[in-house]
Amino acid sequence: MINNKAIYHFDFVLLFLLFPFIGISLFLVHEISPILFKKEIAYITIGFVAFLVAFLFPIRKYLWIIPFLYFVNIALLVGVDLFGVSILGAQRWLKIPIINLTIQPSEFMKTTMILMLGYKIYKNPPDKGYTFVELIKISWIILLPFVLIAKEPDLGTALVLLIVGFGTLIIVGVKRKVLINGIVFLLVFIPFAYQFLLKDYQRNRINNFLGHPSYHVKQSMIAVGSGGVFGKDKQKATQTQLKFLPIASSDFIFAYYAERFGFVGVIVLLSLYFFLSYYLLSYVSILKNDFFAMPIFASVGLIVFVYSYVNIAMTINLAPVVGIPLPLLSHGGTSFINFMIIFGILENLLAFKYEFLYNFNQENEDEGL
Amino acid sequence: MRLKIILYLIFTFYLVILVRVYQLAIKEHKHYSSLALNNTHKVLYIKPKRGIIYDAHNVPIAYNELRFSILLKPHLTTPTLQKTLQFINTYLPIDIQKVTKIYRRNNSFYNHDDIPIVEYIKYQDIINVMPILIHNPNLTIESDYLRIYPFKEVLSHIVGYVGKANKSDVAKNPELKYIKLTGKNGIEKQYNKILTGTLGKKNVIVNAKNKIIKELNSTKALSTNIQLHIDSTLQKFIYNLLKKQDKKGSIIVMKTTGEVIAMVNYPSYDDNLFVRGISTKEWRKLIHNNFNPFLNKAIAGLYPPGSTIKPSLGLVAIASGKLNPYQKIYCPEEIEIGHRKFRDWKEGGHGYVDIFKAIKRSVDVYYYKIGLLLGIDYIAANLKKMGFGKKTQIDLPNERSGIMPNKMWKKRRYHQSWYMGETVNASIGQGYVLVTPIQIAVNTALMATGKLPIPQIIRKIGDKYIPTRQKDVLTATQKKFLPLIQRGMWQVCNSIGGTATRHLAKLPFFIAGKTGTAQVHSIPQDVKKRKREDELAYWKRSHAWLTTYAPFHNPQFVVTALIEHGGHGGEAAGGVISQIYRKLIQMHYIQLKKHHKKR
Repeated sequence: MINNKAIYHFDFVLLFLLFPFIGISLFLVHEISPILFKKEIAYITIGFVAFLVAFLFPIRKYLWIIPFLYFVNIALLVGVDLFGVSILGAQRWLKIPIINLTIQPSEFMKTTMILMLGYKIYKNPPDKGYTFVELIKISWIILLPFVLIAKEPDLGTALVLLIVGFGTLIIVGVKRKVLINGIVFLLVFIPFAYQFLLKDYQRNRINNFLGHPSYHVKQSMIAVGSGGVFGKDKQKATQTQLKFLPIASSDFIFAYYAERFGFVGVIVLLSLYFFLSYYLLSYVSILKNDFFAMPIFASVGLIVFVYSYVNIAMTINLAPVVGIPLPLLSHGGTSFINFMIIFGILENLLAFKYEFLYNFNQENEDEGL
Repeated sequence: MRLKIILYLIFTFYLVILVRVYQLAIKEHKHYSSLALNNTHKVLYIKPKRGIIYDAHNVPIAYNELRFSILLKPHLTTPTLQKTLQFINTYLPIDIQKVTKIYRRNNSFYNHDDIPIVEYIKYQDIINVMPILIHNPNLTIESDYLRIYPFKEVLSHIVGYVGKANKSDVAKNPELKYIKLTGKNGIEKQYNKILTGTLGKKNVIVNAKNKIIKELNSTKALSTNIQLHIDSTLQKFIYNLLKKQDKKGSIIVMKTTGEVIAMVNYPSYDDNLFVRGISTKEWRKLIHNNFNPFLNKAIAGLYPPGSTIKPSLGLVAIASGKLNPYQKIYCPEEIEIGHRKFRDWKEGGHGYVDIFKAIKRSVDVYYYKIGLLLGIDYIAANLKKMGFGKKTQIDLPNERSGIMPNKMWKKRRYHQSWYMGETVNASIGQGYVLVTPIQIAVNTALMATGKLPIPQIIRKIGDKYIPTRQKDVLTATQKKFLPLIQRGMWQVCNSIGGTATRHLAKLPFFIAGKTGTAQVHSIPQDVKKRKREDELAYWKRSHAWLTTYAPFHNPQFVVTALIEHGGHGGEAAGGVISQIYRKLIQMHYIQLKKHHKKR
């Protein structure tokens, strides 16, 4: 079914780059809670199945499915706004009546949004950079989910999508004049937004971050700070083992990692993240003529960076606390499976770069897409 | 190009994180390590049991009794509350209405602690029903110690009481935050640190939910018992004596070396009231009582010493060389200084008087003349040394110093110069002079032995005896002439015409002493014959002093009595003091030897 060419183009480096993260995550979660470890084994297995499915799905053949998924996702977000379940003041969840399952549509939005961006850019490739009008025509893909998610309110996730979306567009190509104007606009708009658009609790979080850190952040900083150069043994990592560090296995897993492996460990982890995003972004120049795959690689590279940066920064009081997981490391099935799907799609885009069909025999490498 | 910029940006951002982690994990590693340690290491405190106070014969006069409190969970609904109270009531009778009120008052929205509704339940009352009660999920039973003062009014001025430690108490001793009770008055306050003791500490490792994971080490809670010189039997005897005769005042029984055997004030108060927190009503009753039951009159009641000053002043005058003790000085019924007449207490005067007669008959005019001879500053300096108008340093809080005036004192206090007439008044212990009964007792011991003792209540701290101290305050000359004064004081109690002779019922040994009548209002100039004291209205009557020591030839005990508005000293206190001496013999405090006995 898969011919040699596909295997030849399959990027094993990209796949193997994921294993250190998965290994670290399993190790940490096992130390925190054996029960969560079992769960993690299960969802990692599911993640690899999803990876395989996403890899094998001939997405270039069925491009129409992308806008379909995107709008279904948007519809779900609207659904959240209308019938959503509110937990702790934030309306982010949708209850599916019969199987009694709550889902968080914003979690999947990043996948459908970047695919939609790739689709749109593929349909309207830039001619030496987008003009302002062209940019507006594309950016509704980003702004629509941004507004819906920000309204939930989940400003953190919404802003991350915004940064990733526009970052991708900049990488793909925007005219210099538009870029400069955009930066100037941002500088004016941010103070205004802080003053008039944010809710009180959001302003509080930012103030907390600027002033005294909250209990969670304080405990997280203690964990990181007490780790020292080489970290501490499991028994001596009291911040996590005696449960002073909250949600240690998920949003604050970096703090446990730092407590356990110290400054040296942090250098290793940051290098891994940097290398992963560097590796993904380097495909931008390799695939510079593939206007479908290139923006998707660019945005995944940005996602890895922005997610990891924001998550780590909040644990050491460099950013306000937002509910953003550490990619591939935080305990959480939805997020992990989602990433595996994305990486499956990436492998698919690489492996079947020259083929529209799995059993396409014709060799026309030079033509490209 | 743009891609490169973005890659550099990403690199920079990760570098910022790395710098921050470097700062936390390496630069400030120590700080965060200690914070991490603080999270897990907790110290649990074990309350020490407050030290017991014993009297001289090991009778406990302040001890702790195990009591129980019933506490209810906060925020109970009215039906649940009533049901729970009914449940308690079936096993342990309680006043449901009152308890409901207590619960409501403490059940504020912000309170998350259990609310005590019935406190200090006795062991025997609760022990049988406890197994049933503890099964109710809405209530808990806690045990605590209640401080008990079994002698109540009899010893309250000495023992004092404990109360809840307030903020300033905690500031002085942070451990009180956990111990909660602290001495507020009397011995409980004076020796509070010893009685309170120190907290026991248990070092443990806890998790975030404060659950103990491991115990590291611990120290025991310590406190010390103390013993007083006070004899509770004698104390009670004297208290009942005063109470039966309704004599308000103060009586001190002290060894001549300073050990205070009894110190009774009547009226008094029940110190147990303060332990649970006195109610406003009871407090007002105490404070607004005209007879000041709350005041420890022995050390904080200020009275003019009256004639009790005379033996000391006589000694000062003789030792100064200006007065020949044997010379007979003419003492008319009055002398006039600056258009003001100063009368003797006796109509017609005493005629020719030497020092012995002056003390025996308490001749005022003799002392007026001495006073004018010596001048106030000389008198004040010497009498202050002998204990008048000066704190005795007894080991009790709130002692007052009284006043021994001189010219400078008056200048400072009233911005006025001193008048001769005031010297005359001071010479018979009137005018500005104010003393406490304990000062008179200490001065009497000085007259008896030549040494000024520091009165002391404490006998033992733990197993350690606390010795008493005496001060050598007399000059050699004063010591030389002291026997003359003692002879005068003997005559007061034994000679015909002595001011106390008639009032001291026959005792099997010789005692010596001095009476005093401290006027509380002045007598008009034109009145020659004084009214008898018992004809005056109560509040205008003079305070009566009688201070004594015995046995005369081997002084061991001082007994000093002040009867407020008692009139004449010998009359008011003589009977009581005789009875006290008889009790001292009966209790074998005074062993009669041959030479003590009257022939």
